[in-house]
Amino acid sequence: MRDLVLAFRQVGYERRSFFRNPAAAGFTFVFPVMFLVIFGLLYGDQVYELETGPVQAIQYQMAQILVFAVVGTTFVSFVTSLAIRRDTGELKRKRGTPVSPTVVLAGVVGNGVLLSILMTVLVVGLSVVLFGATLELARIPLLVFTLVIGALAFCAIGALVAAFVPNGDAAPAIANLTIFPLYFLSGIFIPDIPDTFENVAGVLPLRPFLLALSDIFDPAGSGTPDWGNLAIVSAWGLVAAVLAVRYFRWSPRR
Amino acid sequence: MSAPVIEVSGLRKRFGDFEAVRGIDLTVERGEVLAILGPNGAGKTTTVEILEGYLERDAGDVKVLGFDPAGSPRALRRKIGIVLQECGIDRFLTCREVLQQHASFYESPRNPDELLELVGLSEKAGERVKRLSGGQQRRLDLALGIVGNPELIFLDEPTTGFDPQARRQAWEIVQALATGGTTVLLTTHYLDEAQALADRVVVFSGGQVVESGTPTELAARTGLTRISFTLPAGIAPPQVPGLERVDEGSYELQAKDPTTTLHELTGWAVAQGILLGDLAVARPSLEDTYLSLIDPAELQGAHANA
Repeated sequence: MRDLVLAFRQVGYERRSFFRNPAAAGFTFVFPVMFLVIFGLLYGDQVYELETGPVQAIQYQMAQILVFAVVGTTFVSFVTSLAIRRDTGELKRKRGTPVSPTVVLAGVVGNGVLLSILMTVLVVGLSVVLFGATLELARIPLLVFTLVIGALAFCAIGALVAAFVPNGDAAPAIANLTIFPLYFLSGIFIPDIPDTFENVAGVLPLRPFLLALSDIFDPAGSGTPDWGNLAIVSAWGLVAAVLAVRYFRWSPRR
Repeated sequence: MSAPVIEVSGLRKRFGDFEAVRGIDLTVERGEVLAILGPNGAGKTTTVEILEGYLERDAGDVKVLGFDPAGSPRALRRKIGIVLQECGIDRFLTCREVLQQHASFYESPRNPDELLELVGLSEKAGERVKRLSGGQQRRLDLALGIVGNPELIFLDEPTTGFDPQARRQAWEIVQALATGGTTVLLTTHYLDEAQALADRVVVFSGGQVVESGTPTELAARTGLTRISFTLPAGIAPPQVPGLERVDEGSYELQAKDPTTTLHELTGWAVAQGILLGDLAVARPSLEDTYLSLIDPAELQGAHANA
């Protein structure tokens, strides 16, 4: 119980610290918005003929950009910030106090989830206002549920990758090198992917997350994400979390 | 008498081919201030990090407040305070926020504002950590180390980078803690720091304990008093055994029996009608003992690292 209170307080400190670094915070938000505007202007008004009926491209782009934004605020920033905090000794210092490691990590994860929800408001809001996208209000609870699953899973994967990053300077390069092939393979920047890609990307965590979100944003569909896809994302998250706890390092490499 | 706060015997730790700690025995009694002195690479930090629970030992028995620190049990972390060398703090939080955050980790913490006052950072309470100078950050480190009201505090080179005034202030804080019954384990490069703070000094060299005792005992161990003086140009020095020329017209000697030696020197000077300039008699210092204990090659290595 006490730890739960502490974890909430940690989220507060993390959030404050994040927004007091305007350069980093701004970049996190500006990047996805930039992609949304570029792709929206390029072909947001095209119409896809799906099995369920004709759908405006922006409905799918919204899901693509949202995945990019959530993975950026969770996975990429997690790898980088954990590696840097390990380098500076911030993690080592906390390890020397009675605070539970779970509380320290919960603070960072909680902040990542919070930012993901904020990103969603921004991306969906701009898609609606600028490009005429639509979202039924009744679908919002499932959207939040899917988002939280995705955000948690990518935090866990980030924590696992951070365990193997040698130092903070290498972290951004390693994070991007891991995630960019996955973005392309999973069709984050292109309208569709070939079947050969689908077979591989379908069992990796990113593509199922994208498909789950696009189910929710498909106005002609039922609005319920494919549970199989959510299960794949969750499974990746759980396995990563277990391994991350096993391999996590608090002190810089000596 | 209560059980020692720290008990170490036969401690060993190896990093690859390098054996950093080679069989160390150490006891720290409750309320004692123990200083570990030694050049870089002598095994000070490795030993302390094993006691703090950061490193696993290869061999030996270790008890800290009755706990085995290996694996860093939470019950132990509740009772100790740690001030590490170069240890990061969230740079975007303010001093007060960081202290409040750390206070929330303990069951009966000290008041963050009183601590800021104690370390002389009251004016910086609302300032972000990244805007503090190096010395101010170290003072915040010290405050963070004692925010949990620890029974035992580890200070790893706590005043490196302090200006003389901040140093005195830090010493006063440590002395106040010791008076209040807190046990202090301190590592330092500064002999005056050990002399000022420590009840007992342990000298490390090459991963082993080479000497231990109170600062006064250690200083007395060389048993030599240093006498120095200058002579006017063109005057040849007297024939006194052990007299060394330090510089043009400047002389020094280490005397076993300073009374006799001084009598000889002054007798000679009066007979010649010469004044001994800058005459100084220094009692045996910790530094002399320390330097005599440490292998010169090791000291040079320490300089190269510094």
